This record gives sequence, C-alpha cells and structure tokens, in this order.
Amino acid sequence: MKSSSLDLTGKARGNGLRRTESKSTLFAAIDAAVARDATRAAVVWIGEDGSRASIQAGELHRSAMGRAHALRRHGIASGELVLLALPYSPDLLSIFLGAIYGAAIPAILPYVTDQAAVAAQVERVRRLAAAAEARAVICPGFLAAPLGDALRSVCEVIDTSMLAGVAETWSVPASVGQESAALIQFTSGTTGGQKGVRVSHAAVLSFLQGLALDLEVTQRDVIVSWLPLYHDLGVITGLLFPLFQGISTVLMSPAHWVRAPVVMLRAMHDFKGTLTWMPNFAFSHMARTVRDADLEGLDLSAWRHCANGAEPVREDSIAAFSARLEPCGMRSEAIRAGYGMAENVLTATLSRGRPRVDRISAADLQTRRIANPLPPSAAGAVAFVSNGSGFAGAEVAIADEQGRRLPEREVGEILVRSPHLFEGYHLRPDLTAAAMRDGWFRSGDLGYLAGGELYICGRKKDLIIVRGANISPEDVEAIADRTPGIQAGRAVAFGVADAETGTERIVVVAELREPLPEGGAGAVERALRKAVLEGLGTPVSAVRFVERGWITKTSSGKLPRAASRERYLQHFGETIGN
Amino acid sequence: MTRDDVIERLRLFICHKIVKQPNLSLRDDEPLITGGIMDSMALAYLGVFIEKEFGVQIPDNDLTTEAMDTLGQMADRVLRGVGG
Repeated sequence: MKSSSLDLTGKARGNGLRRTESKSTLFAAIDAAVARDATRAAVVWIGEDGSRASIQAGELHRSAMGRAHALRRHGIASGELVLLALPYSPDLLSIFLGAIYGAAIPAILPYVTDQAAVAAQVERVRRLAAAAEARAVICPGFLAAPLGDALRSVCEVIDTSMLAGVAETWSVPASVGQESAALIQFTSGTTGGQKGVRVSHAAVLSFLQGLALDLEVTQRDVIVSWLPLYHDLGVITGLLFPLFQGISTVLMSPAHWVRAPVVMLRAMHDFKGTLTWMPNFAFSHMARTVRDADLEGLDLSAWRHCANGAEPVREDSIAAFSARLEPCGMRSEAIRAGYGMAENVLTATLSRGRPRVDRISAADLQTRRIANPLPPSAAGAVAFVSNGSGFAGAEVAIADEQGRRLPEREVGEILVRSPHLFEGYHLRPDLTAAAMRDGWFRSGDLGYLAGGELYICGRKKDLIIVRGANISPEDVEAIADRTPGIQAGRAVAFGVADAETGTERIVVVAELREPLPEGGAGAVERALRKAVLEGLGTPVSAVRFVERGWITKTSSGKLPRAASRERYLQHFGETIGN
Repeated sequence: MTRDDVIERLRLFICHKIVKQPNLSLRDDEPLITGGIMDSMALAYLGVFIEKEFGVQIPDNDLTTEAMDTLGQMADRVLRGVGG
C-alpha cells in the first residue's frame, strides 16, 4: 500500500514535548501550541468520498478566532450556552473552538443526517434548548427555518453562514478565567432527565496534561479518530488533546467508519497512527466486518495506545480484535481498558497494557456482593475485565450506601476524586449535591478493587449503554406508553449484553391494551420501533408482547426491570443466536 | 436463485442474528433502518454476510440507508452482483 502524500509535519518542527506549562484557559494553551508551529497539519480530514484534506494549525486557529469574533458580533456573551446542532464537518471544529476560546459555552449535540428524521431532531433540540436555557442554537442552513420556527420563543437560531470569517487575534474576555466553564457535555435522554455536565478550563487542562504525561506523547504521535464529537471521548481525544499537544489528528465521520471501518485502519497505516480511543463495540465491529483482503499490506506497528472505554469492556471483543490485527503488526499490549465519565472530563482509570481478567464466583457476587476468585476452569465463574488504576491524578474508591469505604474484593459504588472534577450539572445544583460526597463523585456504577485495579460489575441505576451512549430505560418506556395499543405503564425496557456486537441491545417487553388480531401486534411493534428510533436515535433490538400480568410492579409501584430482564432471558433467551 | 430465495435468506439472518427476535415478521418493502428495526452498524455486518452467503461484494459506499433500507432493495442489489 502506498503511503500518503500528506506530510503531517510543518516546516518549523516543534522541539519535542510540552509538559506542565500552566495556561489558564484553553485558548491560551492552544494559542501557545499553534505559536510553536503554525504550519503543521493539525487535522487531516478524511471525506466520505475518501478525499483527504489537511488543515494547518494556524489556519484552524484563525478560523476559530474568526468564529469567536462572529459570536461576539451576534451579541452572545462569554458565559452563555450555545448548542451546536451541526453535521460532522470542519465547520463544527472551528465553531466549537471559537466558542470554547471564551466567546460562549458550547455543547455539541448529536446530529442525525437522515432527512426523514428532521422533525424528530428539531423536537429534540427544542426541548433541550428550552430546558437548558440556551442562548442560541447554531445549525446548518437547511435546518435554520424549521429550527427557527420551533425555537421562536426559546432562543436564537444562527445559521453557520452568519458566522463566517477568520481573525488573526482574539483576546479572551476578562470575565473568563480558569474556573469558568469551558464546555457542557449533555448526557442522552429526553424526559427532562438530561444532565449538562459543566467542566471548567482548569479541569480540561488538568486532564489534558495528565493524559500527555501518562502517554509520554512526542511530536511523532498521530491520533486517528472517527468518534462523534458530541461524545466526550471524541471531542477530548480527537480534537482538544491534539490541539493542546501540538500533534496531528486524522478525523473521519462516524457514519463513514461504521460503513467502512477499514478506512480507520488505512489511516493508521498511511499516517503511522499511534493513539486511538474507541468504545468496546468498535473492537467487535472491526473484528467482524473488516475483510481479510483489506488487511493485506497494512502496517499497524506504530499503534502504541489503543484505549477501550465508554462502555463495559469485554474480553472477547479485545481478543477478536487483536487476533484480526496482530498479523498487521498491531501489538496486543497496546490495548488498554479504561473507565471514566464526563464529570471527570474523561478517563478515571486505565489499565497499563492489555487488561487483566478476573474470574470470580457468580454466586458469591450475586448473594454476598463479594468478588471471590475462582480457578480458570471452575464452573459458575463470571469474568470481568480490569479497568486499571487511577489515571492522570484521579483516585477511585469503593463505598457502601453510607459512604463507608469497602475493602478489596467487596462490591460497592465506585467513587472518583481528581484534580479535574466537573463544576456541576447545568442549572441543577440539586443533582450536583446528590452526586458529590466529601469531594468525591458518586458514579452510580458498581465495582470492586482487586490488586489496586478497578473492575466494573454493574450499575445502581437501570441505565442501558448502547455503543457508548447512555440510554435511560425510562425514556424508552415513556415512548412505549405513548404508543397506541400498548397498555400505559405496562412496558419495561432493559439492556441485554450482546457478545456479537460487543455492546448492549435494548429490549422492550410490553403488555397490550387488548389482544390484537393476526398482524395487529406487528403494527404496534412497528410504531414503537419507529418512535424509539426517532426519539432516541437508537433502534430497539427485540420487542416482546406478553400477556396481562406478566409485568408485576413492585409494592412501591416501580417497574421491575431487573426481574423482567431475568424473566425475559428465561422465556425468550433460549432462541437468541440460534 | 430467485429473488424470493434471497429475501428469505436475508430475512432469516436479520431476524436471528441482528434483531434476535426469530418471530419477527418483515415485509419485503418495509423500511428496516428508517423504521427502527436495524441500524447502519448492522448493515455493515449484513454486507459481510452477503459476501459469504452469496459471493457478492457490495462496495462500502453502497451500504447506505438509501440504497439498502428494505429486504427488496437488498435482494435486488445482491442479484445485480450475482449477475454482474
């Protein structure tokens, strides 16, 4: 395979590593990195048609400063929230950066390209803009009219063409300092449960510095990423980290990668990519869809950091991935498993090299909440992948309901403390107070420590994680309740781990209002599937209609998700995968 | 191999391996991706299946929602590949 003609290094090569220079805002840090070498390729953009365009650091910086000035001209003030409803494009990069330079507080929203889903997308944006008291929504031209109508009484809608222009300089407003919010990361959801995680400039910079130190980054490092920028993993590792560090990032759209994951591997080969971050499902997706012929001639030996995070890490996904790519020189030790959350900017723990696997007694875990090791061949074992130990200055601890620390191998809630915790949930001090205890962030995830390493084994909340995106079962159930034919309050949603896709599938079990004639349930099911896709952006996997009384509410009137899940697996699970 | 044969094999694969709901009834002209039954990730996996099952390689750029949203569209695409 021929190597790329794009030269990533600029004429004035930076002389190595930057370490712990403290810059107060992201603008100052990025400005300093650009000043060291403005001509290097900051971003290589791989288009859907396979085209490759290089954006120099100085060029991107000037464009971002131009956006910052344009936002200011629009009367937007530095502390105001702007929602970016933009497709994956160089415009998104510069507008996001312009805002983060101190012109506003940006939040990037999931963007659906499907034209048919415009109405659903407009409705999602409207709800969020209203709930989050956004100052403006920035969108592409074709969305400006429908969004403008929907948001008339909510906030301003700005078409990207109104934010054109470049600038040579920018001065951060005096009101913006290191403790100011740099960006807001919204969790997914629709029923008012969406939380906006506010992180400060100081927090983001602290994390980026910790990341650089851990990875021992050099000027030879190249990041390759297809992650969506509305996901914290994508925007931090694919954009902010390389700009902060003065290294190149090769970007391609998530939709492009999903269709042709080999595009990422070719980029790793062509640009001698070294650093990547991906959710677990991506390891499975690549292992099972990349063709043998496409791997011929690829040299992946430069790949030295391949982090797996954002959803539970599976041993089989990692094994399948490395078995496919090792013949191309990919080193299995490069694979690291991590755990983190937007409230900690990103990673809280990360394994050193390929993660250990702990085999423990399923019975002891279930009944005594203890992780009791079993020999490899023993029956009744369940395996968990290590997520390593505290990363970039973060510490983790395990606590019981009262907040008392638990010893190793006892299961409890995972707590995180670090120099870069979030400042709070946007407009929700009540949720912030509930999430913090004595300076520690309560993750809501369940896990245990063994040998100083963290193992995740569940969640306190009934959250479903599909390909790194958190889906609240309440949101799915609310959609089911509104679906004609389904008995309101008699639909339960839960996640089922899926070995083939390496992520969770959404399953809905619902009782019907009345027995339907042949083919009738099909229509109800179709309506439900379409509504979930439009409302949440993710399809339901299995839908099962059950007789009245199948779903038994608890005495407190709660839906029994865990019990329904067990029952579903017993009743219907046998047929899975046959 | 008739169009109906191809549709039936695709249908079985989608119900069993993608949606994991063997009793699912799918019409030939039903939108699967825009209808919330499967996603574009599954489409890539379906591409691998089609290659193994029918010996037809569908270029990545053809694995789109527009071109492959229904069983009928998928079958027609497979048959074009068999013929060509």
